[in-house]
This record gives sequence, structure tokens and C-alpha cells, in this order.
Amino acid sequence: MKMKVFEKTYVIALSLFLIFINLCIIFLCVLTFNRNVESTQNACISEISAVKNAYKSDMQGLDKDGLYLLQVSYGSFYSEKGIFLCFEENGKATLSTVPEGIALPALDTVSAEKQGEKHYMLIKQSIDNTLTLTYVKDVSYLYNEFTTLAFWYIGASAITTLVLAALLYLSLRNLYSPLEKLSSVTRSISGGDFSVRADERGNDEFGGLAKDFNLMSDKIREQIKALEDTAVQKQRMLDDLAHEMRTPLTGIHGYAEYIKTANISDKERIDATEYIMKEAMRLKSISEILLDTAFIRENKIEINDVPLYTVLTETKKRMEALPISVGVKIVCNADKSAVVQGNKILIELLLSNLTENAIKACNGNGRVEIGVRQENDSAILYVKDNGVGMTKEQLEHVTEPFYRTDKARSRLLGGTGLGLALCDTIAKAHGTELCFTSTVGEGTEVKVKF
Amino acid sequence: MARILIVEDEFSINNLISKNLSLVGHTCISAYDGITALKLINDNKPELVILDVMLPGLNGFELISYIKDIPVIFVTAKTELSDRLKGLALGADDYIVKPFEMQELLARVNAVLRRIKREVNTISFDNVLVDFDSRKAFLDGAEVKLTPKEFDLLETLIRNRNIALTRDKLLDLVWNMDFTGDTRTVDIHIQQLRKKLCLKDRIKSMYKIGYRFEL
Repeated sequence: MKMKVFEKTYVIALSLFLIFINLCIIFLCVLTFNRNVESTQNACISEISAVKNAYKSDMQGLDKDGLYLLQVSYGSFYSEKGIFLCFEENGKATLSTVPEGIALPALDTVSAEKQGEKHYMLIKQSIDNTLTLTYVKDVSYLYNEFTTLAFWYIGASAITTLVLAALLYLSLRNLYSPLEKLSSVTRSISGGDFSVRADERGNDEFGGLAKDFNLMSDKIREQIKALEDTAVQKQRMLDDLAHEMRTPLTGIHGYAEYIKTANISDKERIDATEYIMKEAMRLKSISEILLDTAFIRENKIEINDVPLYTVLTETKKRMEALPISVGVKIVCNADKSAVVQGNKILIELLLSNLTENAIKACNGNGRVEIGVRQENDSAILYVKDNGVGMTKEQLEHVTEPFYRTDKARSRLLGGTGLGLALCDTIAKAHGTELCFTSTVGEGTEVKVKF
Repeated sequence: MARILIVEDEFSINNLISKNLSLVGHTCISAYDGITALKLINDNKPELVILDVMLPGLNGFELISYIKDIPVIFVTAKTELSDRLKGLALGADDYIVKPFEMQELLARVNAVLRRIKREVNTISFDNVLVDFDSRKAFLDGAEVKLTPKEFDLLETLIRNRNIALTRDKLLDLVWNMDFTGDTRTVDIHIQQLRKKLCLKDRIKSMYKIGYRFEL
């Protein structure tokens, strides 16, 4: 049988209580009865002594008939009081008012006899050498009293039991109701409804349990939310990727078809081929950057001392050689002693990407400053340009994969839209983040704090 | 032929569409953002607009509400059915999803132009005149008898001029999809056309591809 804790507690408490209280009642009843019997016995003993003494004084000087008459008068006198006497001389009864069928006890003993509904107490004592007196008292009232008492006790016990059962039920139910509520909350939550809360009132264990439970529910909800967000992000990234690949693929397919079927000049043919190659390269770099990003995210990077001066001057040289840098002045501003903890290859990659973006933002006419400076005991790597700048809304999305502030220009320059997403991943792998400040028309500064 | 505005922010795709449509004789105007497109629509009154959905400035869905009485074909990378339905609900005449084959785009352009009766109905070159309405061809002013299939083949070649069509493609377009004939059928009809209209220099055999009508 399946029982709730509440029901078990109820049954156990109630039955234990009933067993003990009824045992006590029975014990008390029996004790009272025994004491009554004992005191009646004592009373009988003293009464028989009184009868004996009275008889002894009355028998003085009486003859046999006189004695008989005396015994008759004693017998009738006590019969009225419910006391029966039996005089025996040398073992032979001379007078007996004792009801028939009652066996007389041995000398100097007390015994009890039951005849029909009546209970008798019997005492036999000797008056002189030949004469014995048996004193028989009707003690039915003792038993009647006991029966009445027992009846009352049973009645009281029954009422007490009912009241107790009701009160115990109510108070236990009240006590266990938080558990019941908590259980229903648990069911709701396992059904996916996280809006329900356990009742935290009360300072007992249930209150504590409810608090802990709510805490647990919050944590689970947060984690589910985080997982969902990640899933949504991944799906969006996948959608974006599919979209990003569709455009170059349309181009590649279209130009290849064009070369194959169209009646065109050699120059057009070469242009089309170049386009195909360019788009293929872009697809290749998208896949490389995605792999790099995944690798950096999944693996623990090796951390060494990175001499920023070398990284910065090398980046400057490399960037100046790029065709997009024509008309853009690149300034490097670094202390030879500047060293940070990080991965040299990744920091180079980060700096190259940021610098390339800065150069692109200048539209072939501007100034890009790369360097390192100290701010509050930490080294700040920065890339600053006086290019087109970004709006607040653009800044919010700038590290999202495939986000471009100027889509057409980015494509034209062979951009993948993944550069800043990669930079963001690199920065996070170093335990830091990219910090952008930008004004439209004035330029942008990116800072990475080490 | 028709004057077509191509609105697509991706330079290379825009260029590709423009080149292909020009090959078959259309006049193309290109716009790379929504605002310029709107201006060009008002100034140049194109007969057909090929419109990308994701555009800087005004997007394709916004732009289409400004376009009155000009058929629109959406060209987009958005594949979701809801986008497609939205495009068509806004009044687009057709919807084509990237990546697409150029021939598919040309076929749809032709279909839309046919619907609005903006297809050219006659064309003349060398000493040949072809009238698409009456389905007659003339050589030096005299009518040349062509079978219906020969005429269909000629029309298909002219409408896709400067673009090579494979024998299978020609079977598809002229003899329709279910035709299970030999590609030799195509060769025989081509030979007939060349002979009847003296098109030896116009209909070129393309090695490993098929035939191309050059003009």
C-alpha cells in the first residue's frame, strides 16, 4: 500500500498514543479495583473481629439453647446488612445464613466466591477452641463499581480518541502542507513551467528546503536559458554562414556558366575567371577563420611573454606593404620594454585584423596609429584611426560573425565579415575583451587591456 | 528588347546578371542600393526590375511598394518560404533564389516580358527577318517555310542568343520535358534551319556544349 509520509506519521502517532493511553487506563482501573478489594478485605477483617468480640462477650453464661438463639439473632441481624455468618462447632455448622452453594474457606484465610451475579468475600476465624465463625460479605458493589468505572473510562477514551484523531490530523496536515505544495511545484517545474515558486515562509526545515529549491530552480532556469541562447546563436551563425556562402557560390557558378556558354571576348573571359578565383579565395579564408576561431575557443592557448614592440613594428611593416594601405599613414607608438602575457601568434593575428580594419576605415586617405600604453598598471594595446567611424548601433553588432558596417565595400575588398569575431575570440582566450570607442566621421579606437 | 533595372548590392552578381541580360539583347541599368534604385526607376522608367531583398538604404520589400506598374523579379539569398510568400504578396511577379542558373533567370525574365507583351515581336539580321507573332521567317523578303518545331527552335536560339545551349536544354525548351527523343533530333533540326535560312555563320556548333546563336 502506498502511503504518504503525512499518513504514515498520522497512523504511527495515533496508534502509539492510543495504545499507551488505553494501557494506562486499564492499569489505573485494575489498580483502583485491587485497592478497593484490599480495603474491603481489611474492613471485613476488622468487622469479623468486632463480631467475634461482641459474640464472645454475649456468650458468657449462656447455655446451649441460649447460644443457639444468640447465633440466630446475630445471623438475622447481620443478614440485613448483607453479611452472612456461619457458626461451626467442631466442624459442624450450628447456624448458617450463608446462601447455599458457597464453599466455605479454610480457617484463617480470606477467599472470594462468585455465585450468579453476586460476588462474596469470605473469612473464617475461630472464636474459641471448638467454635469457628465464617464471615461472608456481599461485595458485588465493588464489581459493579468497577464495571461502571470501566464503562466510563472506555467512553472517555473513545471521545478522547476521536478528538485526538481529528486534532492530530489537522495539525499534521498543516505541518506537512508545505511538503505537499513543494511537491506540486516540483511537478510543475519538471513539466517545464519555471514561473512557479515554492513558498519560502516559515523558519523550519520546509522553509529552508523551499529556499534551496527556489535557488536550484533559478539556477536550472538560468542554465537552460544559457543553453537556449547558445543554440540560437549557433543557429543564427549557421544561417548567416549559409547566406554568406550562397552569394559567392552564385557568383562562381554564374561566371563559370558565363565562360562556358557565352559569346564573349578574351578580356571578359579573364575578368570572369578572376572573379571566380577571388570568390573561391574568400570562401577559403572564411573556412580558415572559422576553423581558427573554433580551435582557439576549444583549446587552451599557450601563454608566454610577448614583446609587443616587435609585434607592433612587424605588423606595421606588413600592413604598409598591402595595396589597401596606399594613402594611409601608419604610425607605430611603442616602448621597447613593453611585454604582455599572451600567445604571440594570436596577438599578431589580432593586431593585424584590427589594423587592417582601421586601414579600410580610412578609405585610402588617413592615419592609423597602433601602439601600447600603460593605464592603471595594465598594458593597453590600441589601434586608432581617423576614418569613417561607426554609429552606436553598428558598435553593438561589430563583433558578430558576418556583420559588416559597409557590406558592399567589405566584399569588394575581399573581407569575410569574420575578422572582428575572430579578434573577439582571441581577446576572450586571453581573458580580456575588445573595447571600442568611435565617432562617426572622426574615427575609431579599439583597445585591448592585458 | 526590354530595358531592365538590376538592383543588387553585390557588385559581381549585379555585373553577372547585367552581362547575361545584355548578351540576349536587353538594355541594363545597375543600382547597388535602394535609394539609387528608386531614383533610377523614376528617371529611366525601366520595363522590368530585378530586385535583391537585402539592400543598403531601402530594402527590396520596402522598395517594391514604391514601384508602380513595373514588373519585379526578386533575386535573393533568403530561402525561407515566408520570405518568398511575402515577396509575392507584395506584388512581385517572380521570385528566384540564389544560387541560380543564368538560364533560369533568362527564362523567367522572358516569361514576365511575354506576360506584359514587352517581348520584341520581330527581329532582323543579315538578310533574314523573323516575325514571332505570325511565326514566319523571311529570307531576302521571301517567306521560308519552317515546321513548327523548326520555328520554336529558331525562336529559342534567338531569345537566348550569344549563350550556348546544350542539346538537352534545347530538347527541354523546344520539345518539352517529357520528350524522350534522341539529341540527334536537335542536330537534324539545326541543320535544316542553317540550310533554309543560310544561318551557317550564325548558329555555331560549340564543342562539347551544344549550339549558340551569335548576333
